[in-house]
Amino acid sequence: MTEATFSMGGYAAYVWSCFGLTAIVLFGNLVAAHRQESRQRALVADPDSEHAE
Amino acid sequence: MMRLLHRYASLMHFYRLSRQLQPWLYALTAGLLTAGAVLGLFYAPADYQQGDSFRIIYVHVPSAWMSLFVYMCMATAAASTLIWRVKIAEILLRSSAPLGASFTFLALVTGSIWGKPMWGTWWVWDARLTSELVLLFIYLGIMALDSAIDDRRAGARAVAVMTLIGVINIPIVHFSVEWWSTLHQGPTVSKLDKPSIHIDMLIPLLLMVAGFSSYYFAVLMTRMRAEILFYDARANWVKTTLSLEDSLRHD
Repeated sequence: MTEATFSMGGYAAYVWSCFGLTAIVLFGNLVAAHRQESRQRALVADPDSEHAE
Repeated sequence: MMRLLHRYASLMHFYRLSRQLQPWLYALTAGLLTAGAVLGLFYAPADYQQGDSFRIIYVHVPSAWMSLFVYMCMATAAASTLIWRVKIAEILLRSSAPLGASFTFLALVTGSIWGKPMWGTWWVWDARLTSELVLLFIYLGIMALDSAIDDRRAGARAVAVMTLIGVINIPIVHFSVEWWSTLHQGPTVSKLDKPSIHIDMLIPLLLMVAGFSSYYFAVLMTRMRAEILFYDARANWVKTTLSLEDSLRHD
């Protein structure tokens, strides 16, 4: 893969920003979902302790 | 009594099954998305009109498809919620909304970034773009309604009604490019007998669509488990399952 491959024929800023943004949103959703689950687990284990909504 | 047992059992079984399936789904998602992105970015030939900018299709089209697919899943769940009061359908309905909103957001933003070099503008108020924006607002409205109602069961019915009303927008999004003259291009892939796209361009697109779908189901499982723990917080199976999982984790 050469430099030309990454320059996307002059459209690098458009192409890479789309792929980057997609990666961020998908990964962010995944992390948020697992955090939500851990929070809920903590609440079930100790219903009084948590106010971390 | 049997009915009650059955309801608890189905949430419990979903919880346990999703724990077993999820690692496989994540692996499948990672494989499909990696293969699709690498093939799409580096191996698919450049478009004869759009050059390399067409590669945005590999994130734009899957996002746009998912924005409609997730809504159809939600509409099905909404109907089950209203007709049969199925708990797992309620949970699927409200857990899907943030994911659907994310896909819609991605479809709009990547489309906008694609529009700038190809159409010369970030945004036009044409039928496809506007109806997709309306879809985003419907998702956000559903999420706002869901968080505004404290009673989970009553909230689910309200969300289900709103979801079914919003279904009207789905065919509008889908057929907008045929019903109105629009800057957005017509369908490329769905003409199944004769798709107007080269096979080397099509394969990465199908991989990405499959990857996005499997991503949706994988992350949906996590959101649904969190919701199940909320619904069944006082159930015995939750206590035993969580303590079993904790003890396995510490070994």
